[in-house]
Amino acid sequence: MKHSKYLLSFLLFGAGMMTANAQTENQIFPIVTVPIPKEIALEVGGMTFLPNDELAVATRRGEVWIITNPYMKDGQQPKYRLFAHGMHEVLGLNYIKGDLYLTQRAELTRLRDLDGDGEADEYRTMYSWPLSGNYHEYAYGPMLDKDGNMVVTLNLGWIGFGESLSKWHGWMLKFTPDFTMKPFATGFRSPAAFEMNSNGDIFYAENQGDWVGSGNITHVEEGDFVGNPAGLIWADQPGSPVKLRKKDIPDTGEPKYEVAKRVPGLKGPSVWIPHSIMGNSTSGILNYSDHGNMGPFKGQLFVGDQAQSKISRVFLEKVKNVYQGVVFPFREGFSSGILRMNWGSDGSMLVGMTSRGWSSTGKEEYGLQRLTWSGVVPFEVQTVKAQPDGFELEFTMPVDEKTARNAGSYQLSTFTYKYHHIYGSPAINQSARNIKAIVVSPDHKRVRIVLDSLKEGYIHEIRTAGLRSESGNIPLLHNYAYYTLNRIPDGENLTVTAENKPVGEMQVDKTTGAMDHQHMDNMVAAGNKVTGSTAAEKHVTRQPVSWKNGPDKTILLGTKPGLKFDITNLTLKAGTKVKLTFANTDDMLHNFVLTAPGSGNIVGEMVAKMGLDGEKYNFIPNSVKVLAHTVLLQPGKSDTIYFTVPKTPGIYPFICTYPGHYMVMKGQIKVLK
Amino acid sequence: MFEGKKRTHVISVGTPEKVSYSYDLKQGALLQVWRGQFIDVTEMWKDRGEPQLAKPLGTVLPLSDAPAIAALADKDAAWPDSVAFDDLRNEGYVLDKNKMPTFIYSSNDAEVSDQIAVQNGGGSIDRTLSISNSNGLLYCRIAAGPVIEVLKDNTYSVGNKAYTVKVPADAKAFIRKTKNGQELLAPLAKGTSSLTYSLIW
Repeated sequence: MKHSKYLLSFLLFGAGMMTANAQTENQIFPIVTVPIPKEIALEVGGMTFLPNDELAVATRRGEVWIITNPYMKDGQQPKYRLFAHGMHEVLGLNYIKGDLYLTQRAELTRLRDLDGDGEADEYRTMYSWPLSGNYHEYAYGPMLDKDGNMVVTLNLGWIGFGESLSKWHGWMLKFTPDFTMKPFATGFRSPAAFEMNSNGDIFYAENQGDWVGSGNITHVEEGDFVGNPAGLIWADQPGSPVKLRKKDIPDTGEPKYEVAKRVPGLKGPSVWIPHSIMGNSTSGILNYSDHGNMGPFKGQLFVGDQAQSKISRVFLEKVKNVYQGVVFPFREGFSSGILRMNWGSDGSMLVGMTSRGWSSTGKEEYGLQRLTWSGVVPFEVQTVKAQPDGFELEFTMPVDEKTARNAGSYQLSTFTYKYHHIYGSPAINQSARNIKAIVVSPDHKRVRIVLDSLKEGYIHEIRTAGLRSESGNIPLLHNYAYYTLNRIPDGENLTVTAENKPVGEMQVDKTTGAMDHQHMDNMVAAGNKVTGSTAAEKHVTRQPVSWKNGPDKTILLGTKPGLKFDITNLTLKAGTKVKLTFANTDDMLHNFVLTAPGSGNIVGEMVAKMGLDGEKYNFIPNSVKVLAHTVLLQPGKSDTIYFTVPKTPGIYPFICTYPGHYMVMKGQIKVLK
Repeated sequence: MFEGKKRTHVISVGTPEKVSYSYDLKQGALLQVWRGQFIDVTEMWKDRGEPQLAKPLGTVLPLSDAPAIAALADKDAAWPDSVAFDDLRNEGYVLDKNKMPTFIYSSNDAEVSDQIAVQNGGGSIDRTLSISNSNGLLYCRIAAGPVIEVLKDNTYSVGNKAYTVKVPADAKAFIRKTKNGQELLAPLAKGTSSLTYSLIW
């Protein structure tokens, strides 16, 4: 007894040692929750600051609230007052040239308080566009571009696939100061956010879906076609600057970069945001301008994710006149689904959220939080810049030379996605890259890595788990990043010499033969990687021969909007032979996974550790907790499976294991004796 | 929804008198009125908001989805069923001190404002259509139905007493035959003109 007590305290001490010098997001970037009065459903659709530092927030329920003191200065609570209401799902709000402008589903609106009583009394329609009435026809904006035009984007409708059911859906539109509409670019699927970088170039956030292998941000220029062909049906209309037509777009499943080579006008992402790892639904973008105070990353973009309630950081560079760059994790743990981010006057970031209809890691239905910076500099890879023969990593503080020179500190690999009409894509053409040389700059703030080869058009995963800081020997706050290499820069290759030859060996997966995907298996969350299930007996699609009298029970399971199964409670006798058909009638990818008692959340969490391989394995982890499952179903598809109800009575949860869905998309089978 | 068709540019207005109405912003049409509770927006505000319908919570009196104002080639030309999307520019609305809206749009080269005000504690509504800068004679269709019966004091009963309308004595209102019944029109003179009528049901 005495002995074990001693051991316990020793272990605690040891754990303390391990983490004493590691930085945490919580410590460096504290999140403050802005309280919302109970009677207000602040489902944030748009946010903007007013000149007097009040925060205006537009909601999905068509209201505009004005919040005084969202910073809670002097310990005072924020005050809310209703400025406008009765509008149709406002998903963008901006204070421009002395007025509040917003987008409703059907129009660009200007609000004015004519009589000065603090409430809007003029709801002026500046421009109105057609709608079909489909729920997926969202509208976003406006934003003022560098030439003084307002920019708006219109979502595609959803009818089992993305479709432009009414004019200009799937387009980015610009409005001149006299509100003449000019179609600007198309190929958009779900363009929930856009922002200018410091050069005034426009980037928009796209979500995974049909023709979109993974979320991304893309530089948009006049006449661009950015990928989803649905909007092209309006490309022949007067005023359209887009030359491509629907028939010009091949549906081959080749990487988008390859297709773009022979389809001029098709534009690929500036930065891919790898699905399920860096996010599931790219949302707000915020340029780190002089208004912000968020650590040493000025000039970069912050990119929100609705489903994963987190914010990534993007560094962009222009190579051969094309934008490309790298995405890093930045801050997770927000309370709901992030849609909007704005700089407060104190340099903190106001983060507006909603998760209705699309669930998020943060459990709240909606929320408003403020991200602050403690002033402590995080040890981070600050930028990654492409080199003719590799990459140059720049750090926020000097890096320890010994770890930096060791090839074992890094793992690099390349992959991309399919470009096709199918929803999403597995990571394809994965292969490892080897380091040939490493050069650390004299000030130890930059490290140049020379690779065996670069793959133009591919995403380069750069893992840096072994690196330590020079001072304090701390690990990086985030040790992985994804660089989208649209162009390989010209320049001289580094000569590999005895001096710059790396020390040590790169980390390789020694458990199996060096097949590409097995290397990839090890990339994400190194150490506790979950592999995909290959157990055919858990996915039986033909009636077993031994079922002489057929199934005892036939179940038709469907979906309901808002991430739900249409049946959530089933009661079955132990040993029942079940034929189950799961039909996905929703607009996202779903599966059905029956788990062992008490294991719904456990299985759901395992999927997060499957990394890039998740989709390839239908998001089915290789685990004894998984009893039976369907494949991952495209919208409109179904799968029929056969399984026998377990012999042990109990409650058996079933879930959809698509990342993030398991927390809400679930049901249970009660097994009786 | 109006007559089985989902309409996408409609605003519904509820009032303290528990009289509500729906207005098609792209037609300048007063679609329907009802008494009782306002609307159920579950199908817009729950989950993803499918199928995007607002449902009146009361007994609805359907009126018309045709534009209220039109230019007619001659006095016998048929009333248009609708205005093309780009031929009517909806310009929003302004709230009065009671927070009641006046809708503003331009069509037929005229600026139109359309004010709907609840009267008599909810017993009726007054609709005032005002035009300015019109280039020629326009008409307002006040009512349409299978039958329109002339009552006294410039009052008309529409559709076998489904509702009645009262127009000003100087409105020059007239009834004419249509394919499906009758309609009550009034001219709106070139330039600046205005018409107020009451709807009682």
